[in-house]
Amino acid sequence: MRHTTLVPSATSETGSTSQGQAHTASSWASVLETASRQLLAVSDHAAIAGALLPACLNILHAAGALLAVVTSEQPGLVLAGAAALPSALLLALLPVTPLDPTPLVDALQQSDARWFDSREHIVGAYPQLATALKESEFERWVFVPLRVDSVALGILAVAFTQSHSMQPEHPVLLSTLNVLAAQALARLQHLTITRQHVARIQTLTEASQSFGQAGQDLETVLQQVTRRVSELVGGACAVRLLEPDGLHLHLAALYHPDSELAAGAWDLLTANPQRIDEGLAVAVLTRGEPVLLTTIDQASLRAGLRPAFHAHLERWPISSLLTVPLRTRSGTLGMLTMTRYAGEIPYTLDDQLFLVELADRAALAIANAHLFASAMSARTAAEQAAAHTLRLQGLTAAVAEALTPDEVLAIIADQVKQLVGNASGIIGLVTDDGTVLEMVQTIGYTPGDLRLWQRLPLDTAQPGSDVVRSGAAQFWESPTALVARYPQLAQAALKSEAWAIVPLRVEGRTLGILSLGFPQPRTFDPDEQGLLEFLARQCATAMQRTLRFREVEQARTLAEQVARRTARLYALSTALVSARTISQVTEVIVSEGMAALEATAGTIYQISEDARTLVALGVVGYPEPLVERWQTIPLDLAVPIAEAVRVGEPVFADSAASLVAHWPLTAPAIALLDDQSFAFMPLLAREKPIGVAGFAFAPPRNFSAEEREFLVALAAQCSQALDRARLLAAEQRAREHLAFLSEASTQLIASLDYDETLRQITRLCVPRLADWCAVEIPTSGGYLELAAIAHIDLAKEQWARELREHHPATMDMPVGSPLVIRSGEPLFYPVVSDEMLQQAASDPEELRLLRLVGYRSMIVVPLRARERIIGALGLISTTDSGRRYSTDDVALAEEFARRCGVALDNARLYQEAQEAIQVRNQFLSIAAHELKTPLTALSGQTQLVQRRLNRGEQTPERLARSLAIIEQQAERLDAMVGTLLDVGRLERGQFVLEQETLNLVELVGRVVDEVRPDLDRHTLIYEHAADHILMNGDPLRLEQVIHNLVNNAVKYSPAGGEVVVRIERQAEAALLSVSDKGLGIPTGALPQLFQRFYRADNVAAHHISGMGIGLYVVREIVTRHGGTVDVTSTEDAGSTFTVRLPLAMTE
Amino acid sequence: MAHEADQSAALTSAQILVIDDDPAILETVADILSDEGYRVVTARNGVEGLAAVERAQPALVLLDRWMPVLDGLGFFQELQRRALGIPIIAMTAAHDAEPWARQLGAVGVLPKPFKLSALLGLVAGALGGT
Repeated sequence: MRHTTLVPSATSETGSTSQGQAHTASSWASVLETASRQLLAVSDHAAIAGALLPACLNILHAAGALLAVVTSEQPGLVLAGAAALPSALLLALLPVTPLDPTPLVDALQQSDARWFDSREHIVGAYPQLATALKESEFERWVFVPLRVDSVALGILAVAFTQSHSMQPEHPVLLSTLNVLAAQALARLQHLTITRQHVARIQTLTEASQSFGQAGQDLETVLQQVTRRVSELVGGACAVRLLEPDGLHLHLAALYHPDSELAAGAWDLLTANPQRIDEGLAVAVLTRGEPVLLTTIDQASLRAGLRPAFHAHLERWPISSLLTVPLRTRSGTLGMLTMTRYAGEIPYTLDDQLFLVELADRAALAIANAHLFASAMSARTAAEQAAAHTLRLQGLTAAVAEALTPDEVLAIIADQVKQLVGNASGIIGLVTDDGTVLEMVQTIGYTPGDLRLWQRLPLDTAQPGSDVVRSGAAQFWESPTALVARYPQLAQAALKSEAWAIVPLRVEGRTLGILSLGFPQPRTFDPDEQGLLEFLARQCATAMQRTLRFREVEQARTLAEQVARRTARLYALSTALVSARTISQVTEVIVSEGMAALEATAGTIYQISEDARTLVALGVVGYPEPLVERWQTIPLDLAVPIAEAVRVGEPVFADSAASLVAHWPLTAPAIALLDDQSFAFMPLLAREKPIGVAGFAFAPPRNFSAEEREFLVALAAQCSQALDRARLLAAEQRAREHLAFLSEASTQLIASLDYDETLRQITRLCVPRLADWCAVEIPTSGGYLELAAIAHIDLAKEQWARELREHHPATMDMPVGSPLVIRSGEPLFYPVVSDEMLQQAASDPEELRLLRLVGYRSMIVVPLRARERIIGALGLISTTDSGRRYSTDDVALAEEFARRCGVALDNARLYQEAQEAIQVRNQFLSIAAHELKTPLTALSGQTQLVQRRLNRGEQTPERLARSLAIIEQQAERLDAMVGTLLDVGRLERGQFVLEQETLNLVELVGRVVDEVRPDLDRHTLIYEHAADHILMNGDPLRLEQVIHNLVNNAVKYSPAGGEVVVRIERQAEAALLSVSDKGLGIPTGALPQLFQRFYRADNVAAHHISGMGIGLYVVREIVTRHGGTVDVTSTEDAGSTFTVRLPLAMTE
Repeated sequence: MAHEADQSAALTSAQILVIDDDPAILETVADILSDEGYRVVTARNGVEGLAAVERAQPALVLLDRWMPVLDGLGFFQELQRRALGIPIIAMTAAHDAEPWARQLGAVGVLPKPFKLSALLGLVAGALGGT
């Protein structure tokens, strides 16, 4: 080493005093000893420099020297002192930043001194020194690192001139100085550290106090800790605290004086949470050890960190890092990390120790605050929980009181309103069949909003159905989020901006959903989600419960209903048992039945005998026009009541609308009713329909299976009762009919008078069989005679007679009695319709009168007598009795008519017999009279002859006259007896003709000649066109005929006049006529004129004798000759009898 | 047409009118009465009888019941109307002669056929009573 003259840059007393001893060993020793003594006493770096540098100049003959030291106060090297070095050169040597490459800095990294032997050498390595060195005399340099225990504490730089010659002792001296300086520096450092420790203890105390003063708010404490630690230690201070999960760390607080850096670091670190099992945290937290990274290689740092950190590091390159655990006795809270950046001095072990202390205190404060915060939050949580619990208890209590699903829904709706404010909501329930989500309760929606969602099939991809299917809630923060998942809703008019759709789940089953819509986009934090789900659970549980309650309630209601109905059915049965008549049964059915069914209206019909009509037995609870209209219903009408009978099955209609939809004919009637539901039950007896019962219900009914069963059971009861009543009625009717017939028979035979019997017939029928009964008998003029009539109302009886008088019935009428008399078949009109009246009426006036009768039902039966129809019996039921005839009644009427026929026939026969007797008596009387007349003359003459003989007064003339009279009278008697005998023969069939061919003209002439002499008042004229008219016949009988006719002509023209006998021949017959101008014969007598014993009224009145057998005999004789006899006559003008006799075959 | 009885008898005794429609009876009764000396007037019906009453003013009428033109009752009523007080003997073959006779207020009834004695007894009785 070359020795150079050292020129001290700063002269000092010490320096100047030691200069003289420079070249001697003793002086070196002295200098060294002084220096070392001085160095032991120094208390700062300047003092070390003051002691060291002069020694360097003196001993080493150096031209200049400087001492730079590493301090804890500043990063890099700090100039402790310089000797004989220009300031420009000092500036050039000292680093601008701690890391700038200067020989000083570089030397600090070296273990040994570094020599630069020439100016060119050093400038070559550090060009920045060129200018400063150019104007200096310094040629050679040595930079010596001052180390203790290999820790570099400073650099001693010594400069030599060109002239300096390195002496052999110089390196040793340099080393010695080096050691002395290093020790001094180390001692000074220890001193500083000791001082620092004291200061740090104070600081720690202060820090603890400040931490404590930060209060109990964790956030404030953390702010205070980071800020204070940053101030005390230097660099950014970050506190990361352990998450409750024990796995993650979260950044709790961060401080750096540069707020921009702090904000950047905050964002970075919060965005990238750290786990405890990665990076530095492993050592710090798991092992509880501090980590000190004095200097950090940027490249390896970047490589070790996620790319997210790179930009930040680009801007704020971390150069040193110190991290310590935050520990308390109860455990580790987290970690506190200090970072320094490029240009700042790295953290030292010292910092580490200090930080550990600080961290312990900070941890305590944090733990306290934490505890407090925990306590506070626990309290808040407890309070919140209490409030929450209170509210939820309220909810639970409220829903617990809810008895029906609707009440639950209303409460939930109310709670939702309280909890989430102006949200709109829907509660949907899954239908029983599990296919559809049905919206049952809404909050804040108009019906129009929900039209599309009212029933949501569960197999669709909609939020509601998805929630039901998955059982998982959906929370949608915005329409965008919702539409992203459900694109089809993009088109929907969404009423809300955010949604929470929570399943109503209970016992693993999803009952439905609670869907809430919010007017603004929003997030749903876990608490809120939890709350809503809780709400939904409550709702679901309550729903479940109420649904079960409802089921139970329904079951109970059903049971009660069944019990009630059973009771009513029993009551009905009991009532029905005691109801014996159809009307009683009807009354019971419509009253008890309606009560049992809670029906508002009821009808009961029975089927008419012809099975074509339903006939009302009772119609109750319907408006009057309907009652009237529904008296009869055609069975083929398309109405449900008829359908029930047709199919033999009940017909139910839950609603009036469905009834009208199925049966449009019912629309006008339904329009008059308030009733909503209808049931029509056929009444079946022995499996055949006998009627139908209909019930109407004002409150709508849903006819459940049970209800239907009940109705059917009720109908069965009714059917039985009605059937029984019908049978009873039929039996009773049969009995009544028998009684009636029996009485009728008695009554009918009470009189043998025909007219009285007719009257009796009608009287018997009214009122028992009819309100109006008429017997009509055909008359000869083609009219019907109203032979007898009876009416329950006497006034109407007269009125009915007048009606018939004004509107006579003719036999050709196609209705009623004429039809019956013509056909012999009964007519039965169970119901007399207005159409029938129109058909029957001949004019509007008659129709009006017929309508006034009030026809309701009618039977017309023929009256027969020995297979001959003699008339018709009409039984008419009017609105007076309202009675409706049945076929039973027809049978009765027929039987009655048969008896009437017999009675009438008997009456007629009796009358005829009576008449016959009378005729016979009359005949006998007449015959006796007729016989007595000739007998009187005969007897008188005989006695006269006797008397004259006795008296001797007899003369031959007198005797001859008497004998003539006697003979004449005997002949008369003989003729009479002969005629009577003829009658007997005719009746006995013993009348024999003795035929021969005879000339009729001659025969008639003979009779005329015989008769003519006896006539005094009559002129007998015989006219005959031919002299011969031959025929085969009995001449005596034919004479008898002509005698009779001529004698009659004379006899019945008592005033005398012409009697003309005329005979002429026609084609095959001889025509003989006898005409007179006498009394004539009344028209009414003509038909009977040729009857035996008949005498016309007028001849009796004229006391013209006769027995009423002459014409009878005439007819018999003529008939037996194959001829005919006719009469034409005008009363008081005369008669002509014409006899037609067949000619003899020869003619 | 009246059959005049024996005119001589009529002069000595009472005039009797016989009315009957049967000529044989009329003649027989007239002969019987004439034989007894009565004057007899005959008529064949009520009308003729009334004419005979006017003409002959009989003291007694023998009246038949059934006659044409005007019967016995009709004649009686007409006779009563004239209040002549001529007694009547009812004469009939009818079985109900008695009631009819009472109806006429007849002084006697002569059922046909009759005995001569009965006829003459009745006539004598009737005329004797006057």
